[in-house]
Amino acid sequence: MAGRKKKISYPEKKSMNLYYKPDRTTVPATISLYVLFALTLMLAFGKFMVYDYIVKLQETQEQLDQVLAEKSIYDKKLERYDEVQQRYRLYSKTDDELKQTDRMEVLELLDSAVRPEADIESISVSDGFVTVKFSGVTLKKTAEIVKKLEESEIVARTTVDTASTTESPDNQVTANILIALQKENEQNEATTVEP
Amino acid sequence: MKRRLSSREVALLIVLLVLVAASAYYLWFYVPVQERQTALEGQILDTQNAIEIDKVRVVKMEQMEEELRQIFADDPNPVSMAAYDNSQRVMFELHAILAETDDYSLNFSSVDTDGEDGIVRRNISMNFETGNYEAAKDVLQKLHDSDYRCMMDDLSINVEEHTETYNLFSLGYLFSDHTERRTPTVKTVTSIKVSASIVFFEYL
Repeated sequence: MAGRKKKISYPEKKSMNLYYKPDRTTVPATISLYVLFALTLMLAFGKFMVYDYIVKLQETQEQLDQVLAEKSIYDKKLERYDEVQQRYRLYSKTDDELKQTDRMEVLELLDSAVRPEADIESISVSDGFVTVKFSGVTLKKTAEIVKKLEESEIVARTTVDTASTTESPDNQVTANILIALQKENEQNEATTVEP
Repeated sequence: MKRRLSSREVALLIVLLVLVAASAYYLWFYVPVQERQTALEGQILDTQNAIEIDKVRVVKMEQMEEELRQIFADDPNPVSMAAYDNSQRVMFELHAILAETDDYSLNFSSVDTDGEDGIVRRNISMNFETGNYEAAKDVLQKLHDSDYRCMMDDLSINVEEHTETYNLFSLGYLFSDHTERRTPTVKTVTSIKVSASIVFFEYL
């Protein structure tokens, strides 16, 4: 047994692949390409995700500065607003006064149109209407008085309610006249028309 | 000992780095920038709204100034509105004016302090009597031109005539034997009765 030699088998390769693939990952050109790609990505990211936002923010800030500058101009203009408003409140007419015809103006009108001719028995001024009762004039004179009243700017219209003759010899009458005041009735009509 | 990272490890490391970078970008850049942007836009909108209000106020102020110029041009010393509460001075004023009448009564009704315009309205009803129309009108004119801003309404003027009988005796009658007696004298007396409501304006 000792003289019998064991057959030794060696590895054998019958074919050989001669294809050689060199490692290019460390080649400067490849590295440059990677770097370029990374730079492009970073640039795109920086442009769209950072720079644009910052620019937009700056534009908005500039817009705000402009608006604030405009506001400061108005603030300057309105520095005296409170003072003017206070003076206005003190001296201007109130809404009530603006809506009303001055009662003394009404009396002046009656004095000039009715009193020289007739004896006034009563005057009532309320809610934009004047009721005046007078006597001592003829019907013709009453018509003249009504005409005078209607010529006034403060009168909207005049209605003779009653005119009754008295026992006087010259056909004198006692008349009741209803006068609608222009300003107050204008407002009432305007209020009615509004929906 | 240096060991080369496997490709899976490298891939995971890259994913991790990307996640960290994205998170950092989102938290430390994107969110603050967006918040600032929103705040600025909100500030712009508020300021623009304030400017619109200011524009209206400027127009209103110019109108008020114009009206004031007109008021002072018409009357260099216009009556200003008194401050609330002016009731005592009003009472003194009314008394001073109405003292000239034959008889008067005043009824101080409600004081309206609820006006949206910040103006208090002191409502007073009054009745007075004078001997003639001119005196009545004079009283009304004085109220109208009073130092305190007021407005008359519900004005009613009635002329009333009534007769009064006087028994006049001559001086001689006192010393006579009382047989001579004068006949009573009947006199027609005219009185003007005025009633009106008057509102005094005061500012709060």
